[in-house]
Amino acid sequence: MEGYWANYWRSQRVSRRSVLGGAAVGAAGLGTLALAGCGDDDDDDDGGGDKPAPTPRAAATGQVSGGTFNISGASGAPDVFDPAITILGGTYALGLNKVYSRLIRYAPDFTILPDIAEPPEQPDATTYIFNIRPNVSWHDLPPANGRKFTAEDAAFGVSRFARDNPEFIFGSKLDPVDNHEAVDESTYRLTTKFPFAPMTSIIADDAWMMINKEQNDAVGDEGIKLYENLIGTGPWLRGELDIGVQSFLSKNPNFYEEGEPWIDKINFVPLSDRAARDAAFRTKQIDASSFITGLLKLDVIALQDEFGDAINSAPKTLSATYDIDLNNTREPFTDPRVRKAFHLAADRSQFQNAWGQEAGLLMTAVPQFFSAFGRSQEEILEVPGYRQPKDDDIAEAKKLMEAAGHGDGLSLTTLKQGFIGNHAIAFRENLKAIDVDLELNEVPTGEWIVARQKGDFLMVIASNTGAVDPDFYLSDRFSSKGSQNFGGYESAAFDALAEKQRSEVDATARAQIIREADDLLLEDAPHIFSANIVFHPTWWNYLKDVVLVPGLSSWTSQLWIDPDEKERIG
Amino acid sequence: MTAYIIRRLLAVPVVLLMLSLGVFFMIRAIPGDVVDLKLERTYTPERAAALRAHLGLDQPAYKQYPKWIGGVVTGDFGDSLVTGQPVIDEIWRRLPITLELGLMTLFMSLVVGIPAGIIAAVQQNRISDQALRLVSIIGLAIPTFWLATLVIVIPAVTVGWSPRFGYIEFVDDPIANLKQFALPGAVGAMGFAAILLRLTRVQMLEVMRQDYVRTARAKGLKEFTVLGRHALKNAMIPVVTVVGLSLAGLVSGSVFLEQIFSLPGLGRYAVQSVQSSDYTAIQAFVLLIGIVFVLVNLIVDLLYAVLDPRIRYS
Amino acid sequence: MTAIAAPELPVARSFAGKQARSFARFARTQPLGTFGLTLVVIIVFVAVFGEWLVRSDPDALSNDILRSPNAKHWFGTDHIGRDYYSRVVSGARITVALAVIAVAIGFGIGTVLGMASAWALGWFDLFFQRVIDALLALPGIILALALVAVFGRDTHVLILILTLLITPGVTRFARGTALSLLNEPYIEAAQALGAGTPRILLRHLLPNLLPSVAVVVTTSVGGLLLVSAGLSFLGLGVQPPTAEWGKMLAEGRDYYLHAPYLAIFPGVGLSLAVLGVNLFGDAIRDVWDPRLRAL
Repeated sequence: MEGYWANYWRSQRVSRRSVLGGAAVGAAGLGTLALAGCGDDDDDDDGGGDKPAPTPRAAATGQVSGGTFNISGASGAPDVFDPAITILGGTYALGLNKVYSRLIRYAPDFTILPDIAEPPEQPDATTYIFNIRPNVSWHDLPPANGRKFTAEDAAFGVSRFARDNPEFIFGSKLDPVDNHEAVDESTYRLTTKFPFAPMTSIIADDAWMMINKEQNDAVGDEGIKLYENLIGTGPWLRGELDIGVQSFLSKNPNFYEEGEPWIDKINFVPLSDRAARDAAFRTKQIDASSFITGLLKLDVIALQDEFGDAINSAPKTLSATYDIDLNNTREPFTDPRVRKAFHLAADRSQFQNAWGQEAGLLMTAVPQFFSAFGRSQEEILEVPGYRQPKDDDIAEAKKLMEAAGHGDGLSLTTLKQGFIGNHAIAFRENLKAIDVDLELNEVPTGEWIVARQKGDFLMVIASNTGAVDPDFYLSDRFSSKGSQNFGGYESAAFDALAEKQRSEVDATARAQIIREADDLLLEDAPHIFSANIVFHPTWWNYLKDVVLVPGLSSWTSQLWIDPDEKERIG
Repeated sequence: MTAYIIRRLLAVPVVLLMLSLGVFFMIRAIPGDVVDLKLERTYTPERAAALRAHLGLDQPAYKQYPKWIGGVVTGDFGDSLVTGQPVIDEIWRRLPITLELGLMTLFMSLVVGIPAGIIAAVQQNRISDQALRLVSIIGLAIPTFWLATLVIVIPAVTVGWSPRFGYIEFVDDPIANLKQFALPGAVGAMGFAAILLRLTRVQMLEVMRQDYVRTARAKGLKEFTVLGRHALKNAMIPVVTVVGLSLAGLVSGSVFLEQIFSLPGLGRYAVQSVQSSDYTAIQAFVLLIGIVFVLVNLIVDLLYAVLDPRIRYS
Repeated sequence: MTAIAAPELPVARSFAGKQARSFARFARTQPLGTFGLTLVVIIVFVAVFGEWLVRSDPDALSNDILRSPNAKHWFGTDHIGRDYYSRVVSGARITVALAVIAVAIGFGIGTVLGMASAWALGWFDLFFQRVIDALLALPGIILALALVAVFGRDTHVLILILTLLITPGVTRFARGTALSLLNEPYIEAAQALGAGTPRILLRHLLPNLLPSVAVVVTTSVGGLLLVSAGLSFLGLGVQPPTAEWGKMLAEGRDYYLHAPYLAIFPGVGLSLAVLGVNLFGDAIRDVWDPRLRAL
């Protein structure tokens, strides 16, 4: 049996293009980079073994080595460079996900691709075998000094996330894990206590980068946080980080993908301001906007109007979501009727205006981009609360409020995140239709995060991270013991469904359970669901082979600069 | 006058003490909890308690204050809540940028404002005077942040030009560095040059009417000498005062200019710290800026006394 | 007085007539100041009667996004379809209200405190002046930033912050003026006649203090407007969805390519308001206290 995902994709034959609501993700400028996943039919003639063949890379199609790539730097300061601690986009962009790499990674359509290791084989439902690829080595810097990456390194790297360090935030994801083992120098085996469907996705997720044991021993967890101690297996070597002044990364000459990285140096141009970013892009001081935050769609359109096909842009759908968290343990949200009324009153099309053009991809509880598990755009638009016109839903909402005893209105205050939380403005207007007066209290980021984390809030309109498996959006967010269940939602029925889907390895059966869970969440409305965050990375056309993936990762080793095109565009 | 100087000097430590107390209790006043903010997503009640003990925040305020002041005096302003790095490092790194921006703004204001003020005074009530005064009033009214935006946006959209972003250190490339600061300096100078223009004009007019000027004229001294040696020197007194006091304006201007022109200075650091609730950083820059200004005001007051011995203080 | 034949004076010298004549004189001698006053009056009018001047709810969303000014939307619409004219008018109210309230309170408190300090002298004065020094040590925006960090972004807190920005300066000035006024002979005379402290302060000192302080205050309003708008521009001022010119400027910047008017209208409004106040303040200064022209 090959990997879980291989099975799944084979059986579904889902077109990759359909995944992101029709948007051609990363297709522009793609060249002939093959996104072959486990679905490859090559079989090693290894006899009985079910080893998938190493994934072929694109044959060199004109990639040119050399050049410096200027990209918009993060506007805020990065925090700590430890993947077990941080989720800050700026930290990732400035070096975390470029100096480090993962065992496996996911493609834009969530196929699992090799990185340090091949996508895992699964001889049985609780065993995952990762074969470390032959040419992987640590950066040629002390203390690792270019030695080969071994299965021991893999075991260390993965298990480190569960270390008993109070600052580490992903530890609970390894709860289902039974054992990590280096079977031999290039084989790492992970076993789980029970069949756990999301396992591979977790290892492939953005944060799961491999830290070097010697370095960790030498400088400790405190030292690993520092930029100057970055040493990994990724395509880039740490360069220089001078916050707000300049930062760059230089090419790792010993990177394990042949020829990559094509570019010699990534230069981060710090730009704090949208006007500055736009001006810098126009004048080609940067070759691309950040691959995470991009530009507003409106600006992209203007640029394309002006510069035609010299400009490329594609939507990047983040796994992160726009949220409206309700505290289910406080009045009035203890009453499911009130919650449902709020859900029905929310006008997602106006939310979309508030976020900006094409800045949100609608979702119910499970994101649309999990095309097997989430509802499609068409399906979503028929769900009460999302459908237009809203007259029926508003009428229903009013009745619910009446029944709950709030016929003559309600007043409350919500915490709000700046910028990303702007659907609050639309929601405030929507709620007027059911006589609810919502006051917005925009607070600095730390404040609403802590309030939400502590459960010390009534309502928070902000954003939250996501993940590359639907389990996160169900178990983590809404199971009674879920780590992201800020609203304190408790439903035995839901817990049962969540438990069931995470141990169901058959994709079709799992999809069924997930749909049931989604239906339950829409009915109980512990949370007002709206959309995944979409940004629009934009780049000049001389930058080739851009691939955009959801989440905090960005692929940079395959990029190259076409000198002829650069000359033409100017 | 000696009495005045002594009194003035004695006041300084008192003011500094008050400032430090104010800043210290500022944090105690926030409704939330600094410790909780530091933990952010990793918050659990246990971690919070442990961190609070570790940071010594479970001590009563009167015990914490001496500790904090002790740190401050030795240059330890604590660690940033966001990056965990010493705040003083980050402030130190950003200081030269704000200084350079301030100097550039000041320089441009002086170069434009004072000569314009002199011209306006000499051409009193004629067209050039009226025009200059009108321009200066408009200059004072336009918000810095608006003008700065226009200055970046209009050229970018119309002719495809924009200033170079990404701070270039002076030691790396002096010309590029100066070019970088010229535009924000000019934008900031607009308001301040207007103030200088008006002030210089008024002072010149006052002084030109004074006896000693008439005497000098009567003595047959050339107009230029009259203006230059006598009138100007005395006209400079309030100008010096205003320049000293307007340091505040320059710092304020830097808050917006650095934001819009992407210069990693103290102004922007201040804004970022507030936006991310980095209380250690906020405490540090408020205290530092306060100290600087108390000292600057002192120097200005003393200079004032020196420049004009006729001035008396109640 | 010796009875000398005097020319016939007009008998009916009504108060209103006197004011009208004063104003006419003012208009003649201070054309710029009158222009400024006109601007101020217009903006205050808009601020006060704004509720009736808006054409629709400034917060109401629509699907008419980023429309240019047209017949239906005089100033166009913003990125979520709100009528921009209504928002600009509404913004006048908030922008002006915040500044005016802060100035009024600051003026009142500052004058009283300055007066008290000048009268009491001694340790109270010394101590209090050091507190003022500490507050004045910080540039306005920095103090404002610190206060926002501590107290958050409630409208009431904003008014408090603005008041705290203007009061120390007023207090300092009031004290200085009071000190010099207290040396005037009429104060001594009043004391000699046995007048108590309240009487002296209220009947003799205050009326002479007010005009000078008022003059200084008018020159600070413009600056306060800019700090208030500046705070909102940085995202640290009024809460959404309140329309406030500084905030609208910041939001409008995002759309400068598509809808430049979004940033232009509030910018113009703000500039005109500050311009008007400054011009008027200048003129008042010229008329009432030429000594202060240097400031």
